[in-house]
Amino acid sequence: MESLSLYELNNLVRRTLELTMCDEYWIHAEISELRINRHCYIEFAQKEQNGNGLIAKARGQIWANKWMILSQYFQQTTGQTLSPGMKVLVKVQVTFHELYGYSLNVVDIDPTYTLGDIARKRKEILEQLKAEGVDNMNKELQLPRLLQRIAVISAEGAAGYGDFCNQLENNKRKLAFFTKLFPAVMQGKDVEPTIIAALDKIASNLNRWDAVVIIRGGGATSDLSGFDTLELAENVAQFPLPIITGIGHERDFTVLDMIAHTRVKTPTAAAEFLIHHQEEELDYVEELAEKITQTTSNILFNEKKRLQLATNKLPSLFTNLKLREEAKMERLMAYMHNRMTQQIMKDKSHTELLEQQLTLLSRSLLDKEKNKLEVFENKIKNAAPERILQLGFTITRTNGKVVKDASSIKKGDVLDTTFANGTIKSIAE
Amino acid sequence: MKEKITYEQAIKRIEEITRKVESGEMDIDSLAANLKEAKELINVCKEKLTKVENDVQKILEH
Repeated sequence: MESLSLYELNNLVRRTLELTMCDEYWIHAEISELRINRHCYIEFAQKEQNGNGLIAKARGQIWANKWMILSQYFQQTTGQTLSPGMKVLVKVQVTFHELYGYSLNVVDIDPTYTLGDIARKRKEILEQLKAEGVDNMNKELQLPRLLQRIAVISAEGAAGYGDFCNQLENNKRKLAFFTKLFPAVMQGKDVEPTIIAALDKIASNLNRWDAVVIIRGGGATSDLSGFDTLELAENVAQFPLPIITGIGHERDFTVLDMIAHTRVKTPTAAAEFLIHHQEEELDYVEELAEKITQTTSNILFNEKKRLQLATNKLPSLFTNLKLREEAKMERLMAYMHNRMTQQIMKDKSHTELLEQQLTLLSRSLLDKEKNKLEVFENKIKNAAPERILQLGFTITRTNGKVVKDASSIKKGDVLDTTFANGTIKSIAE
Repeated sequence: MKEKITYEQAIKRIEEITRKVESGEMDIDSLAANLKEAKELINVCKEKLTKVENDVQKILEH
């Protein structure tokens, strides 16, 4: 009975594959394991839709020269390095080797797919937290005024913790801090369990601590996926002390960063945050001190000034008063004086007036009388017959009676016509 | 009495005194007393900020 050797069989498979599947294929899968020593060896897997069971698996490798390019490209785009648990979109060649069997040779990668997947996972976790209503809990905690006793969760012996402590110790205003390390794994799948364990330890005597700082030094390239897990997020969200994360990642916000009270970029930034908070507190105290001394000295100054003002005013007040009174008196005197003189003047002028009037009146009276007399005198003088006769008038009498009416004379009447210098008899014709 | 007061209480008391002094409610006689109390409290706060009380140190040591 004819038979093939194993090698022959494998060789047959290989050649068939090389014939039928010589193209390159874009595939998406999850990295279950990953090992790097010059080349990069990957275990690809695909889980069931719902559960965690696997429905497909394949070995893959990225040869060293390709790996150098792809790892750098991946790192630049995602800011992370390829690591287990990531979902990736890669272009592969299907290969079969008689000894090593079936494997996928990775020739290209699309990092945005992984980014998308990471972002999607984060979004899901965040939504879950929002649904549970815990997403803002840690954020809403009030940072205490005294932020001194810091529980630090970091990798044992990592550079991050060292820098952090140095910076806290020698801050320029001699602010006091006290830190204690609660070690945890800061990379890969152990991030979650170890950080949760550390948090539990801190929670066991809560009143010893003012805040928790989760920091990871040593560059930002290592994988962050460990910080994007629901359980860790729930723990941090509901932790009773404010949590400050300094996971040291330029661009990316892990779920942890999003729900922690404060997120800073690096361990040193975390130290700076704490120092700044305490400096502000110290400034505030000094400001209060300044304000009190300032206001009290103002008050004292004003009181003294008021007193001074009052005392200064006294003499002037007094003199003013005196002057005012004296002025009043003088005015009064002057007033009386001129009222009196006025009165006198008035009386005097009054009497003078009277006097004048009197003399005038009496004179006019006299004159009037005199005139009257003269008039009479004239009248008498004029009425004296002699005067009239002298004027050429004559008095005509008949029988000794004065004749006034010419018509009363008849022819032959004897008329005695008296002239200024005598009388003559005449018969009326 | 001063040592037992917490930092938060001290700050609140200082703020209260400052407010009273600024608003002019404080008469001259009580001014001195309040100023003294404020000064003491300020020192307490500064001490707490810059020198962790040794008892905290002790607890955390072991």
